[in-house]
Amino acid sequence: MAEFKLIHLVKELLNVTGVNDDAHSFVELVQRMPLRTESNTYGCSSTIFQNAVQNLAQVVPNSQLFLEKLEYLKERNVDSLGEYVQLLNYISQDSRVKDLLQMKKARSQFESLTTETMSTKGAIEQVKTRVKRASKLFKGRDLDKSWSERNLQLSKTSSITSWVQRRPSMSWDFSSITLTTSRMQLENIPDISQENILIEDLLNILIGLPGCYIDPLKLQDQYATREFSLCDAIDPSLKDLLKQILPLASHYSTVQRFTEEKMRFEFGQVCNALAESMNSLIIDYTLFVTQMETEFRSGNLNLHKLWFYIQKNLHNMSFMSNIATSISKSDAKGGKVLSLLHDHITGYIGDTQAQQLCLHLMQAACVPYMNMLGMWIYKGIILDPINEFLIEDNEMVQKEEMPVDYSADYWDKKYTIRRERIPTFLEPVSDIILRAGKYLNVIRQCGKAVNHKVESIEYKIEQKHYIDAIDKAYKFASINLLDLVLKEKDLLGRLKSVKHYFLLDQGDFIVTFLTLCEKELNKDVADVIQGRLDSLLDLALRLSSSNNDPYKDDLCTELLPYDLQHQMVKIKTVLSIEERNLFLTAQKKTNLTVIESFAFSYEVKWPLSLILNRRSLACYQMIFRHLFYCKHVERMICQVWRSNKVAKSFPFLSAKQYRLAFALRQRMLHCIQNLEYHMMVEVIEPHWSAFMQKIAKVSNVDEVLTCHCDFLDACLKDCMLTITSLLNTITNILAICVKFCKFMQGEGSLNITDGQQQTEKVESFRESIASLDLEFSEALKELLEQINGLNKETSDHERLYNLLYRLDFNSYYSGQFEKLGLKNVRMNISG
Amino acid sequence: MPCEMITLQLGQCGNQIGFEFWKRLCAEHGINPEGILEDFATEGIDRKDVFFYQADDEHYIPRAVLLDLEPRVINTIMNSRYSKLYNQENVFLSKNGGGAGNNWACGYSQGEKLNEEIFDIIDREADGSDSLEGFVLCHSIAGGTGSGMGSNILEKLSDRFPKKLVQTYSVFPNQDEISDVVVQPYNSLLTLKRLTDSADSVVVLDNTALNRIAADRLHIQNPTFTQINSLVSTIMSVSTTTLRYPSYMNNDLMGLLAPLIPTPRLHFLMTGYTPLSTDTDEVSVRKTTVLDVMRRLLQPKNMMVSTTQDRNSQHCFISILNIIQGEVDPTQVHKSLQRIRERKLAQFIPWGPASIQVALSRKSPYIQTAHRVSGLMLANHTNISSLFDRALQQYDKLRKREAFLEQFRKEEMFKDNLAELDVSREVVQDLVNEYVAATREDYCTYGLT
Repeated sequence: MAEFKLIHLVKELLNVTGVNDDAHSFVELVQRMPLRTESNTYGCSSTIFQNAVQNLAQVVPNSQLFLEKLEYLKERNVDSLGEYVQLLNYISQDSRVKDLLQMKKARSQFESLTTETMSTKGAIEQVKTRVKRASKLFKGRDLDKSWSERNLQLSKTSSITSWVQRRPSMSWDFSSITLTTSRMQLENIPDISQENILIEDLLNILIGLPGCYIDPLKLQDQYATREFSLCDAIDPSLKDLLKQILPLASHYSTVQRFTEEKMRFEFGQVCNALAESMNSLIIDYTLFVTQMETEFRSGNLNLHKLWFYIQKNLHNMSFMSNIATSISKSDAKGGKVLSLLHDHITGYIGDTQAQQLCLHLMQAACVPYMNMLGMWIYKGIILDPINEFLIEDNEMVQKEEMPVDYSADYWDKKYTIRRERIPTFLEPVSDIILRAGKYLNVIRQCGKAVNHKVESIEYKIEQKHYIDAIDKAYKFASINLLDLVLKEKDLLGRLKSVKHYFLLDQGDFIVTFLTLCEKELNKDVADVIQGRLDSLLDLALRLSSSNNDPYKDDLCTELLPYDLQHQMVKIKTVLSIEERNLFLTAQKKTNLTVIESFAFSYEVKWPLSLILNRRSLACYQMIFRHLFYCKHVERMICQVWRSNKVAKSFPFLSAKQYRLAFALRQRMLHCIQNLEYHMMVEVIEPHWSAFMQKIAKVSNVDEVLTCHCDFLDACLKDCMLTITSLLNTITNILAICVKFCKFMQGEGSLNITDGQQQTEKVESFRESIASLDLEFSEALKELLEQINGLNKETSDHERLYNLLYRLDFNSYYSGQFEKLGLKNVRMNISG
Repeated sequence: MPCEMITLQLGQCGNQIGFEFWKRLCAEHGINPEGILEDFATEGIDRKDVFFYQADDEHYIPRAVLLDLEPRVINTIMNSRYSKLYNQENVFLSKNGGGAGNNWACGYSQGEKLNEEIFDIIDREADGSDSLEGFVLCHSIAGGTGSGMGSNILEKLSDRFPKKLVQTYSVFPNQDEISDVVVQPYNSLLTLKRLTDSADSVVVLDNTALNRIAADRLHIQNPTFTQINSLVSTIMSVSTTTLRYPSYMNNDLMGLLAPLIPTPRLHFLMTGYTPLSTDTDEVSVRKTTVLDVMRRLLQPKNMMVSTTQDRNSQHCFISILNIIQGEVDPTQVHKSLQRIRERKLAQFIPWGPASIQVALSRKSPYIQTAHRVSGLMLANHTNISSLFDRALQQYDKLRKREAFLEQFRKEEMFKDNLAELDVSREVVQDLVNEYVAATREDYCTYGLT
């Protein structure tokens, strides 16, 4: 799936840049490149980032502007900023890309009639802005979506009124600024009294109430720092002191605003918890201010003393406001809030007090998130109304009404990780988290109870604790599911049973089946009742050694509306022109015979349908159809052989007429049996045993899935099904064989030819055989050449070499083609 | 059930090797001498129904018909532990009990007379099976009953069951010792004609070679019949393993034989087996590899047919099928084939593609063997014609002297003339000629005007 997406993206990119090239080759190139960014998948390392910024600053015409922009973006904690800067850096260093972009730009410039000449650097800027716009658009769309979702939720749930919003005067953040009634002229008051008045004013200001001589200014924007203006009449020395103290009020204002806003439920549980915890600190702070007031009332306080007392609070409050600003500015929610807090904790590693405070906040903020995590990894339940959790449940369909490919979708799409929601400290274990819950859900879907105690997980600065807990939960889930699948549901038995039927490893069954439905297989699809095929299948199952297979009843027949070639072409998502033409011609052929459209299908029940899903069953079907058709043709040839046996009692002279036909039959049989031997014994069986060895060592179901997929892919590849031209040649050979068999069984059927009137018949028989002979030889030659050609280029198809080797064991063909005057096949049969 | 086989055992030799064959099959399938499945045998790994069918009471009964004109061998069988195995109705003994007196003509005419009774049995067996694939006939070509009555049955079988395959395991007489049957060359020739015309595949078991192998390979100086017959039963059982233990390929007799026999008349197959060991001889256990096995199978001294080696002749393999049993990795098979090809260990026909086909087969889990890998070769080799050539020579010698013909003239067939002998000689000569022609490149067009 991911590969196709990649191809799609690359194609689009190529379209945009106007490069006419094959997307596949690019993808291959990309995949072959050593993953240099592997180490910094989650944000690039700081030194690389710094280097890139420096480089860019040098080449950009207005470096000041650039750096400012960068600062702004950094402040907003934009995702993958590092990678983006790095990309820009690469572009600026690669002159060829620059030229290309310039060319593109020139073209677009021409269109937009912008006459302004731009330097290469300008081009970069342009690209940058374009990308930015696109990303903003994207982001905007995302936001729109989440907002609409949110609105939906708001309309559904009975709204909790935000009082602060409704009644602005309820806010503890300077709600009513106009309180100037008791204002006295300060000029006339002596300094010492001025101080007392100012202290009273200041104490009000410190808890967000308006003062008389200190005025809170209007905010620039919602998240700006609040500034204060001081009355001019204040004594300068006191003014300086006040200016030192006032930042505390600014910080308080920020924090208060933050808590009031984030208390609202739509900001999510994490924000709520954080705000709650901050709020409790604010209450402590208010207590402190009250104490100060008491002190003041008893006349023990002056500004200097106050300055001394607030030191600790100033530090804490500034710290909290820092956090509040960064969270508000980046519009963070859920996981991202935790990421930011985590960054702060690690950032303040030297400042114990700050770190302690931050840890306190973090622990409080983590509680709801960790509860969610706990429910997920221990029970597989998501309790996440505001979309904060890193796992998302994509409710698609109820299991009851599940469509056929439910299982495949289930595994890949039901639960997904939302990368942007992962708290950084959970990043390394995010996959494990996803799987733990997913496995539990599968177990539950099987109707089994998940008896796992929910333990509370706590955030600790030492990572050990929660990582261990997650690991343990994951192991529990994966072992349980693996046990369920392998032991209880007998996956291996199932796979073996599938192998019996789809990979024909129990030949007697397939021989029985072919014998039973001999007549049906050559009919047109329209003329056959599937029920009859089903009952014949049932009979074959009971008559052969498959009778002992406990899963035999899950097998049934299926008549597909397209033949194998068609199916293979369809699967290749990207068609070259040649293939597409072929595809169209193939489509014209409407009357399929049963043998062409026949396939087995296999009923798989949950949860094994996760492994034997639609995709893998389709792979099995493709292999089966190919093998089955080969077997069918082999059998037809054998039947010709059997009916030819009457020739042995012919008089010597008559018998020899047929020897050319016999030789041709022998060649066909030799070819097909070697083809079958190659596919069955040299491809499927070794791959199977490798697969069995791997599956004995797996530790979770995902690994089972991967190695099963690998097995099927390897089989498809080595059975020559994925190379369209090769498959066509083989199908052609098989078709010629069928033609020959029909000829031999029909008009060419053997009878003793005596007398002169038969000479003509003998002559026409000989001619038909000769033409079939030529046709077959050419088709086979093509096959041998194709295999030979494949081997020259890569070593991917080494196994096919064996086939070449076996087909031409006594060098008959390599010698024969020369004699026939066909172009020489230079076959290098050494390895 | 597909590829069911009916076994016909004729005459002294046929019944003896048949007896050994059934003993072995029972052991391989875990069936005890009474026909009841042993406790250790499990279902689902083998197909017993190819050669056995189940009676109402879960007994496994061989699809075997025992025929003889004299009671000695059949009585021995019926007094053995295995007496309850066989269906008593399938045992046919001629009422006069006098045998055929080692005379082909006598056996043939008695067969003609008893035809109806015999085919009552065969028809009943054939009707009783769901999808009969063919018949297996065990006999010798030298004596009277196996050769004479066997010839008669062969002719009738191909008339009555034209769509069924007829495979024979035919024992050829020992050339090294002077036979007590003086008319043996006549018997052989007359039988050979029927084998050529009526059988679809003949597995040639040459007593000369069997004795030689017993002496050279197994170090038994004077091998008994039982020892020779156990060799034969090994060949018979291994050549049917792909039918009885189904795997990817060669799961029916037709699929097994078709690639071996390109043209219908050239259907005489040689066999070879390695490593050989008897019950008494278990010391010579060597490490066996696939290459070892496949190379040894190509050596003439391991062949169960003794053919004269003529350096100048172009004799070659028409086809080869190696049935390899044991733990085998397919890549080893491929490597062995490469080695054989590089060293040119096998000569093949020039007129068509030919290679060593390999069938990897499972072994019976109930029989422990000392060897890791063992192999049977079924080969169609043009050199088999030297065997027929020898038969012709011996016949000519006898015929020139008009010796021992009185016994034949007594029978209906030869009352007026001896034309039957001449026709048979011609057929066998044609066969030899065709085998020789098959060594040449122009075989396909040979004889055409």
